[in-house]
Amino acid sequence: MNFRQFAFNNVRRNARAYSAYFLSSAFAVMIFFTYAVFIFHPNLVHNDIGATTKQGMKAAEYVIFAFSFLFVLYSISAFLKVRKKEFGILSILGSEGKQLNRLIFLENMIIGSASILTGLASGMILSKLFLLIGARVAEMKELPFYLPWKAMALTTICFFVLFFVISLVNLFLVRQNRVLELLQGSSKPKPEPKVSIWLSLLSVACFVGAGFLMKQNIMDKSMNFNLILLLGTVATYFFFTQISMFIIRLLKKNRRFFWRGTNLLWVSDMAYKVKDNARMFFMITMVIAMSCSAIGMILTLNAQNEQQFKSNKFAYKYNTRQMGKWKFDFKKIKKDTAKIDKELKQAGIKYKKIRKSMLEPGAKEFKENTGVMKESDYNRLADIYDLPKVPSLTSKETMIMNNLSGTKEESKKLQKLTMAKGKAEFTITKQFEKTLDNSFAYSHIAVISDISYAKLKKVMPSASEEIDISYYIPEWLNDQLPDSNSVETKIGKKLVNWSRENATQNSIDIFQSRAVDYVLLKQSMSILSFIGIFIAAIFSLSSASFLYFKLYTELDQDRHLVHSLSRMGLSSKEMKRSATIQIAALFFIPLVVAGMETLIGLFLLKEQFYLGEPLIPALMGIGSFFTVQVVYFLIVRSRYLAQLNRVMV
Amino acid sequence: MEMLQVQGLSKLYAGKVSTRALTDIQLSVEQGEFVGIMGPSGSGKTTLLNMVATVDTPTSGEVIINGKNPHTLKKNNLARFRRRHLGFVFQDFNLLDTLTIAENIVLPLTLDKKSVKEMDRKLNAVAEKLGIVEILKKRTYEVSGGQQQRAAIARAVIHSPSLLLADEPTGALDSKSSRTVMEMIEMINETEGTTTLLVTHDAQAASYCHRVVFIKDGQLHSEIYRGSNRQAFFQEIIDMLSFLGGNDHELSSVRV
Repeated sequence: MNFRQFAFNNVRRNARAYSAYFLSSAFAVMIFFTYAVFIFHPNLVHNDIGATTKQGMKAAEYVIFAFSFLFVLYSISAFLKVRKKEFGILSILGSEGKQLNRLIFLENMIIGSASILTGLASGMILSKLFLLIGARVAEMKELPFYLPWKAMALTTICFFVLFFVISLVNLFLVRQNRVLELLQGSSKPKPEPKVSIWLSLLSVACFVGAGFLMKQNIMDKSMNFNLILLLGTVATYFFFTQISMFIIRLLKKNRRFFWRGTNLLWVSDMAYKVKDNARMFFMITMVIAMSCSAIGMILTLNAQNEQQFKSNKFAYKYNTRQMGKWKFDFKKIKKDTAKIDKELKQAGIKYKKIRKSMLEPGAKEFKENTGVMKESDYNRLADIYDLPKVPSLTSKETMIMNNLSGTKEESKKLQKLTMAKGKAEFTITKQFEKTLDNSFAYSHIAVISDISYAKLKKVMPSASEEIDISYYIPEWLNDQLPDSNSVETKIGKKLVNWSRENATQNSIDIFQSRAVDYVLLKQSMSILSFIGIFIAAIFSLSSASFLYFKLYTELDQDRHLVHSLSRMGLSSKEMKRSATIQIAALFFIPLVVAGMETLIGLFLLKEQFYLGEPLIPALMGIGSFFTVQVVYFLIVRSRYLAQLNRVMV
Repeated sequence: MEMLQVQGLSKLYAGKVSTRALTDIQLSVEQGEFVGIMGPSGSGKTTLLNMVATVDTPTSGEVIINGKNPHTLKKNNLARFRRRHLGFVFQDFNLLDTLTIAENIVLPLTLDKKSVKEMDRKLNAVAEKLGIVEILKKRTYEVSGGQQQRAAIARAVIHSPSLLLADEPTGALDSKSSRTVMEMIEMINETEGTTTLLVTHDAQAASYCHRVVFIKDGQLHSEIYRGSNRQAFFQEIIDMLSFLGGNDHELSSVRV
């Protein structure tokens, strides 16, 4: 048996210990490769949406690589710890440090190469699926499968370097230990974890601080946002390394609880297990909290997007404005609307055109954007929007329509409105709340008589004005959501492209289609969530396999323990109970903490981002993680219990 | 009164080559008796102890403890039976590293969900008796092997078991600690009247027993009773062991 054979046999015969390490590495390779296949896809280069997706994927690729590095490093150091005794025996038998290094290095490279091969092979299968789903989510034509030479090369090189570097790093980890320590190996009892009351308090303070800052206005200062992230991170870190220990210590102090049934067994063990895994818990919690928040935000934004589409009565809107040096180009307006009319007529669609102008002479009493509308325009809109009809206004009267979101109480009591720098004064006859979707940019809209409107324009020629021509199409109901194949979207897309190409330097005009806006936003949200969910899935799967791996490395010790306890009369029901609590804690503690952080975060932030009700979306995000984690938990639990059950007498 | 009765006990390990570990063992132990089991390696001492401890099932024959045959019990009931009626002392102590000495000792009681008050009372009593009060708050790695074994004995007797089973309790200890540990077991046997069964290689340890039973090749060979003199008993045990023809190097040297 030469040295290489020895290393090879070590790997082969130590399969159980190596398998978790091997599988998780192979998994990391597989995910990395799948992303690479997508990025290097030849059909994606010319695609518009493909480019944004690719950008996201590239970012994801960096994240995966960074995580793989940490993950593999973690696994291997845990793995080497178990084998300390073996290294101790080898040292005592007289193997030189150099030989030991070579052994570890060779073993690592064998596992590394094997996992790269396995990862590539399984990645091939996965990427087929990935291309299919990815293309569907991004609403592109189906992407054909191709032979991804570039992706393969990239993956192989990246991970080969990764394993190489990690093998080198490990040499330092092993070399530092003395032979005696190696021989005692992992059986050496660990001292009780220490707790610092100050660090625990710091963690609590950070949580409170982050919560407090979230209540402040963070839109103004991006500093605050970073500070919140920093505080949250510090708080979470010390939560796992300090506060959790503190809680366990409190549990232990309560002897009524601690000295009862199997509590004595699992509570005492928990202190060590949490301490050992605190850093990983921290990482997982941060990732899950971030992706849950992202999912929550995306889902609420999607709901808003839908809401916006459904409340918009007009399929298309042509808008042009004059402000500063830009003047209305009435010829172009005529030509452009004729083009839109023609397009619709060709498709055989009946429509109703509604023209509306809005003046912005500025109002003294309102700080927010205020627009002025002609009474005749208002009456035409009133039919479609079911607005209250107004008895005709005199030249000194006005009626105010307030935007739904946030009108101050004091403005509701206003009696007078002063406009155009005091040159025009109106008495307010009525105020009511209604958001007109084709002019939601205005917080207040003052309706005045047509004559006053003309006068106001004369008094204040510098005021900017906008004209929009909205198309009301009865055939296209807005209670059904469009997709990219709906007629409304197709015509809309064509016209949006046409208006972009047709833009001139001399005028500002835009063509808007509610369906196109909706579909585009929805698509980018889908892509974001697709990438986000994938990254989060990797993290949670890796963490699960890492936990599994950790449990397995401690299995021999646990088996010995369970064996002697069972001789003393621990029933197998009690053993299962205690083991289940322990495994469940490992799997669900990070999830619960992340879930709470997400919920609290979203609730505190909802007012500032106008998020609406974030509870359901956030719960959906957490729920999906939870479901996946439950599956892992059940698998790991059953395998672990089967192992322990074997030593029960 | 007979506390333990072993009748016609045999154990056959089936396999490619089936091995007969025990053949037709008859043994009865009186209430409060302290019995040692000795024999060369592979003679079946530990198999016998395991059978009495209900962790192994006999191929034929019966074990009756306090008039009941625990081998007829269901698995969970069996666990409860062990935890209430039996006490174990192991060669390698089997204390949990994650617990303090006190917590280790009360473990059997917590499994039975006794009240904290009762546990405290029993803990103090047993710790005082075994002289380990000062180390109760310490962790296993902070105390010596002898102290760990004394803690293990405390754990084995805290629930006042009917039968104390000790499997090579001195196997991992130096001679001084061995003596203390054996004195403790003897003291428990005398003051509490706990029936005790001891499996050992160590003639020194066996000399604390009232009676030593010798097993050879899975069969009862002979038994000797202790007279008033422990030193003489020790010599008798040594003689019997050399007669049995166990390998000499397995016997501990004369220490007294």
